[in-house]
Amino acid sequence: MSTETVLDVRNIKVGFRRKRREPIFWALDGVSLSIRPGRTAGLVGESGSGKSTLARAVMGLQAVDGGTIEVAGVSITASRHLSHKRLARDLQAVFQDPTGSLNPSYTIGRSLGEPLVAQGVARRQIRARVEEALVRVGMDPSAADRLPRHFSGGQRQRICIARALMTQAQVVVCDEAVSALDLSVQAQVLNLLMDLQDESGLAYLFISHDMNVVRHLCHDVTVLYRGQVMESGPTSQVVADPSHPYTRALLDAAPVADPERQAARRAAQVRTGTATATGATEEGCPFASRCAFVQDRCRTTRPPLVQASNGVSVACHRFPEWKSEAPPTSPAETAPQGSSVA
Amino acid sequence: MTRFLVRRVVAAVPLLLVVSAATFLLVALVPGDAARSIAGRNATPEQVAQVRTELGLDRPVWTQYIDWLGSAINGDLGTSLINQQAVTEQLNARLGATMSLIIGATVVAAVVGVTLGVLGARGGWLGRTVDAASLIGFAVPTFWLALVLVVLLAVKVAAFPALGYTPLGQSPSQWMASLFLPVVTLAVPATASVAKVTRDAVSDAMQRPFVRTLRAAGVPERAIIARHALKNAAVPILTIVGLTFIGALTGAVLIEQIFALPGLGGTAVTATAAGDLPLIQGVVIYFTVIVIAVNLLVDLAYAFFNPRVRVS
Amino acid sequence: MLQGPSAEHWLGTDTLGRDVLSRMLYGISPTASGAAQALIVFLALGIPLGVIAGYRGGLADQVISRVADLALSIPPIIIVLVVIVVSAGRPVAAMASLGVLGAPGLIRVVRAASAAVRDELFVTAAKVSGVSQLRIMRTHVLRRIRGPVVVQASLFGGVALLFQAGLSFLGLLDPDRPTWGAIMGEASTVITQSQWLLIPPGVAITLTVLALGFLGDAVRDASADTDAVATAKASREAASPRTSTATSAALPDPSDYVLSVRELHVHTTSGVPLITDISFDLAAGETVGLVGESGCGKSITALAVLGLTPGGIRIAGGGVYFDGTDLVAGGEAAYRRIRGSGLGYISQDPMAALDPVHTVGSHLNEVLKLRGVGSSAARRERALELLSQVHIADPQRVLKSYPHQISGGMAQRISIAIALAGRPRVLVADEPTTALDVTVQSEILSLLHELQETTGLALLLITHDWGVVADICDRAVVMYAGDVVEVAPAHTVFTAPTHPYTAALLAADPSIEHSGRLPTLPGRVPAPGLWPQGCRFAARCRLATEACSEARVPLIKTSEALSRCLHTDLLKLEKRA
Repeated sequence: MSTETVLDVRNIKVGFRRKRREPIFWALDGVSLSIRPGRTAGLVGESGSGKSTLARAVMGLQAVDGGTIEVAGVSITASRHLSHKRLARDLQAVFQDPTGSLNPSYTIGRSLGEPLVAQGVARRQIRARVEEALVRVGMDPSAADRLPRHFSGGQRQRICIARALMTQAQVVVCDEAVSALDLSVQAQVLNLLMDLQDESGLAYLFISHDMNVVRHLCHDVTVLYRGQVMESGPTSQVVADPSHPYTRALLDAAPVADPERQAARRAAQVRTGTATATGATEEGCPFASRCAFVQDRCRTTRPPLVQASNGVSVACHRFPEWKSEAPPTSPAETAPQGSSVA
Repeated sequence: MTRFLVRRVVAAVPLLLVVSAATFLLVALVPGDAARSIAGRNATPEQVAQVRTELGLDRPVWTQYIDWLGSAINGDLGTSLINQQAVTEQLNARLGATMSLIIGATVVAAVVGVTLGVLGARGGWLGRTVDAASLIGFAVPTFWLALVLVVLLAVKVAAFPALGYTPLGQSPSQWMASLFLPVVTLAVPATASVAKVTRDAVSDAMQRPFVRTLRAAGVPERAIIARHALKNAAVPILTIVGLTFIGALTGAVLIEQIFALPGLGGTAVTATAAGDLPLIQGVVIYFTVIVIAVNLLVDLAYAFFNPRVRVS
Repeated sequence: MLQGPSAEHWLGTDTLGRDVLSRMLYGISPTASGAAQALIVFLALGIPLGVIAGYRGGLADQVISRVADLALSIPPIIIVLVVIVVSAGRPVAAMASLGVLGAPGLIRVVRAASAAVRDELFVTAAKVSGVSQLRIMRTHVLRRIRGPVVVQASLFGGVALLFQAGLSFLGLLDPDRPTWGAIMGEASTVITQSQWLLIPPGVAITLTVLALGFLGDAVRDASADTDAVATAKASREAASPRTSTATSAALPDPSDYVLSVRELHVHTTSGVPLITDISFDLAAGETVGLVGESGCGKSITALAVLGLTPGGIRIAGGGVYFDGTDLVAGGEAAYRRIRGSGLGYISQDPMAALDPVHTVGSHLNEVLKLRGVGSSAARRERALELLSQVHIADPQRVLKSYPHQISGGMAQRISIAIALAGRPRVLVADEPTTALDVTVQSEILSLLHELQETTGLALLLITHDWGVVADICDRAVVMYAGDVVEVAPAHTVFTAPTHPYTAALLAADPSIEHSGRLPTLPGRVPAPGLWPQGCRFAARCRLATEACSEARVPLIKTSEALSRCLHTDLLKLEKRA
């Protein structure tokens, strides 16, 4: 265990079996990632990639079938009975839907106080800490006495962020935390997350399907497909020069707000097959059935995750030669500046 | 489908065992009542004891139960303690009246209730009327309604017979006439529930996004209700119709008394009063089998209307 | 004896000459206590077992649910009769057993409600916050099931009352006590002599059961967690379409376009304006993006174009011209002629857009029948053709599939196929790719683009995503707080926005490269009914001056765009700097 990592996920596996006698479906198959204090690790993938399962596993809501998860140096996978009370001191979460995340009949103060009550903090201290947290997220302390329905979606998400700050946790899991918000509100919340990180060295596990948001916010990114890591590394590297055809497909598919650049991207788009439920084979690369650069070995042997360059790891048999077969990315594509100070 | 049926029928066996054993135990907790009523009020304790021995009521409960079960499997539910008649014979003779009454009431409730519910689902004053009518229909005690109907339609205007039952085989028209008042009485609360559930379920279905797709594709409102909303509302409607049937079984106990219909409900009341164990046991078994059969039909209907429930 | 109501005996007298009113009053206590006993047992069993089954799930749930299902298969009357014999007619035993037999119904309801709470995000949030299971059950879960429990309790109270009355009526429960049922039983024996005696107990029971029902509903409503948006008071001034019509820029003749929206106003039935003075045009083969944040009125505009505004919302003025004919003026009949054949529609959630109990084939068959495709063989042929037109690989199999058997992307393709069945000239697409993965979104957008090229379809695309606008739109109509604030060709809206809202919204898009913090827009979109008199964006605008708030700003024509802003020149200068 490194003292530097505040969240350390090692080789975890989560399997489901929908019916008896059916083969196990691996929602997560050997996924690893780690985050240092003050950093943001992005986790991207489409529906069915296993990113939500990973979030649930890290929050202790999903038992794992293999591997370990350590939060602030303490394993949460070692014992069968996890203490949520203990875990909540180090790790908190913000979810996609701020409306659903707050009990509609609880005042904001009661919802925010809940994590402290669970920790056994004395009632008279709670009020002061609730107000302090509200101020930190840019809300008026008087919000504590009101009900969620008096606030807009963006304000509710600020309140949810305030709740995640209550126990002074070091890691905050943001599970699609800005996906449901309008553009202007999304920008406010992203800025707030960055400000809080600068102030107190929070680490974020930022789960998203939106490459543009991840590119803006995350220092590192892990790309998941069907429960396996396709590629991971510093966001600037991964976005500017994807090492895995799936990463390239994801980046190509996300349209950018510029008609000329978007037209150029369309022209350079790498074609992918349509996802089918039965495409992946147990042995091969999960992306093989959709990949434009597929070869026979991709279907028969699973590519190992190997170090590429600049801290990027990639699981692709055809790396790096597939790149020479792909149309070049549009010239207007530039490396992001963003927060990627790595 | 066959496998589904077989599974359901097999699953019903433990239910029958549990219900019959429970009744047996309960009734056996009060020994002597049957023997005493047979021996007569003025019998000496010795005479009662003798009757008890003759009937085998002095043996342990479980031996009695095993015996009963052994013959029950062969279709013999024993003989009534009171009149020495075979239980199945006695009950089969009374099954016709009860089934006519309950099936009649359920059919009326389903047809009228679904129609009212669909009309009510369109909202407006019709919707409010259906809501109010179903509330009142639920709140009115059936036996009171029965008496009121008897007063109005049998005593004041002799339109229908107030009492008695004519079997279907004897005279279909008189059968209808003899069932009219009991069926109407029993159907009122049932119709109220069916109408309410249908109204809610159809309104819900009309709020679903696919209705907008259909409207946008030019599908007329009438077709949306008939082909889509009603089919989507089928599961709650079937559930309430099934529950209505079971409720009618309860109602039948009262209604048969009031209208002097020779049915299972009346038998249950007299057998209860006399502590006639084999007869009560028989009624319990008949009722339970009827309920199991209805539930099975409802489940089959679910599968017909909802592709997700359909067994692959 | 057996007298009708009189001054002395308000409700008359019974067979023994006793005062009916006093007997009725005396009967309240045993009647109510019987129902109460059943209710207590019902609640004491139903709530804890239901909560455990629903919230804990697993084995406990399986056992409880199985037993409850078994118990529901027993007609309660028969067991209660047996209990009456066993207990020698003691009412407590009979009513308690009724409570036991009724409890499975409550268990089912509580279980469903608790299971729903378990899946609520705020319960997950509480767990992650370290709150213990027991505490969650005691606080969040109990609070949430209160409503359904109150309703069930009031219904069961009524059932118990009716049951108790029925048993007393039959004389099975302690016949000497004058419960309302027993009074009625007595009345039934003299029915041929006097009918009056039936009335007091019957009416009393009916009214009590009704009252219980109303009480339950009232308590539930009072304790409900209403998340209703505070309805803003309608500002009369803004509600009147005439005063707010301020479109000064000359609008083109609707007959030049396949679809033209002219000065469209949509209000709630209580008069709150939701969109005001909306005008835009759509030419054949063109794609127009309707852009804005939630609450700006994009979807309402789309639905008004189709004449499908939801209940409580109506078109208050203006016109929707399809091929030069005003559909609003033509009323529902005009819309019905055009829907499906002239105007098609696809929605945001493709899975919910299909009827779950009909196959894909059945959907297509139904709309093709409406379009007059005669034989069923011809309809099948056309259905297969439509499915291949939207690039469905295995149309034969898909025709037989139910919506739950297909993926979201495929469901959207099928929605498109259904919309295309009537060969419409305009397709209204309300956020058609928002619920889909990016790679699927990309495929659907290229499909729409391809269909336009092959069929000349015009596309009205509602979106909040600038990337989608950049990808396939020819023009953009930007909406803010129920207004069109900018209409511009897609290539200029990105490079030279003429409205400060457009500029701010574009700046906040993370797909455009930024360093450090994203530029943000303070405040939020004002709710309908709370719109200011002048420019609705003024309160959030950097460029706002007094003039902006004085009067409604008209759409002003600039070189390439229409903008509802007094300071377009300032914006242009800024851009150049």
